[in-house]
Amino acid sequence: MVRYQRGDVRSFDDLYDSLKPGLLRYILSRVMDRNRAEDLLQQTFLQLHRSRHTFLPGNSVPAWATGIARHVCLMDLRSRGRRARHETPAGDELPDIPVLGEAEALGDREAIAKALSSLPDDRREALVMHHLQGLSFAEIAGILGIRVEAAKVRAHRAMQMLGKLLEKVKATTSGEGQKNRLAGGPPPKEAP
Amino acid sequence: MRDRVFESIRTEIERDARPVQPLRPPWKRALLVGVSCLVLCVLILVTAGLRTDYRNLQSVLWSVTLLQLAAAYSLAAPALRLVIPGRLPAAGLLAWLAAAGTAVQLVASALIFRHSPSFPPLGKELTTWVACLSVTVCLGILPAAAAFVLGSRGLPVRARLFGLVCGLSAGLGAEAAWRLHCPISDPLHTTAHTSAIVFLGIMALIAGAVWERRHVRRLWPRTVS
Repeated sequence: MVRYQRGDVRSFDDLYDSLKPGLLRYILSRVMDRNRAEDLLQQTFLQLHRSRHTFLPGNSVPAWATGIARHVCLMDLRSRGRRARHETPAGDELPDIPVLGEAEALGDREAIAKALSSLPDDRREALVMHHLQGLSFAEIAGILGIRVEAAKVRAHRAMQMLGKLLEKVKATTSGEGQKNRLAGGPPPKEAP
Repeated sequence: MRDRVFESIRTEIERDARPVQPLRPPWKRALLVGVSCLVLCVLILVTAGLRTDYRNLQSVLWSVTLLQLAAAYSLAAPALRLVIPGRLPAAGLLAWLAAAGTAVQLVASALIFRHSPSFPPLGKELTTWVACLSVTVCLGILPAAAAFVLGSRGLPVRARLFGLVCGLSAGLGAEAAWRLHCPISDPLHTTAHTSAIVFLGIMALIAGAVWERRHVRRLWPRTVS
C-alpha cells in the first residue's frame, strides 16, 4: 500500500488481487445483485485510488478498503433514494448473497443465502465482515463507528438469528415432507 | 486480461499515478484547529483587550480558557477521524466528549460568575445578548474553516457528524477567546455564548450535509436529482 501511495502502479495489481474477493463478497451482501455489485466494486476501486492518501501507514488495508466500499454502497443507496433502500428481493427470487463457509454445514446453500438476506442490515454487515472477510472486531468497530463490544454483539446475534431462521426452514421443509407422504406425494428434496 | 472491472480501473489509475503524501494522524492535524483557537485568543487580547473585571478573576480566567481550549481540541481530534475510512471513532465516545464539552462550558460560566458576578447595563440586555452571539459566531468561523479544510482532504464517510462535532469544537474555541474580553458573567447573558456554540454546530452540520451531497453528485452525476 505504501508503494502504491508512492506512485508504483504495479503494486495496484497485487492490491486488487488481494482485496477484490473480500470487497465483492461484502458489496454483494449489501446489494444482493451481482451486476450492481460489480459496478459498485469498480466505483470502490476508483474511490480507493482517488483517496489513497487517506490510508494511514501501519493500519489495516482490508479495513480501510472495506470502509471505502461501505461508503460507496451507502452513497449509492442515497443517490437511488428511499425507494431503493426498502427494496427487497421478490418472494421466490434468490438473492445473490454469498454464503458463509461455516454456516454451510448448517444446511443447504440456498436456504442459508435466503436466511442471510433476511437478517437486519447492521447485523448481517458485522457477520459478513467477520466471517467472510476475516476482519477482526476492532477493525469492524473502526469501519462502523461503534465499540468493539458492540461489533461482537452484532455478529453474535446475527449468527444466533441465522441459526433460528435455518431451524424454521428445516421444520417447514420436514412438515411439508410429512404432508406429502400422507397424501402420497413426492418426498422432500434432499439438501445437496 | 483479468476482468472488466480491473481493466477499466487500470486505465484510470495509469492516467493519475502521481505519488501522494499520506495524511498525518488526526491528533496531529487537529493541532491546527487548536492553534487557530489560540490565534483567536491573541487576536482578542490585542484588538479588544482583557475583560475589565480581570482583577477579580486572574488565574481562574486562564484556567477556564485552557480548559475550554483543551475541550475544543479533544473534540476536533476524533472529528477528523470521521473522514478516514476504517478508523471511525465510536459514536459513544463522541457523545461522551460532547457531554464533557457541555460540562466544561457550564462549569466555566458558573466559576466566572461566582468569582466576578457582573450584569449587562439595564435596558441593554437584549443588545448585548445579540452582540455576543454574533461576535462569537463570527470568531468561530476561523477554527471551523480550518477543520473543514483539514477534513476535506479525507472522505465524507460521516460528513454530517463531522460537521456537527467540528462546529461544536470551533464554537468552544471561539467562546474561550471571546470570554477573555466579554466582562458580563450573568447566567442569562452567557446563554448567548452557549447559543453561539450550538449555532456553529448546526451550521457546520449543514455544511457537512452539503459536502456529502456534492460528493454523491461527483460519484453519480446522472442519478442524483
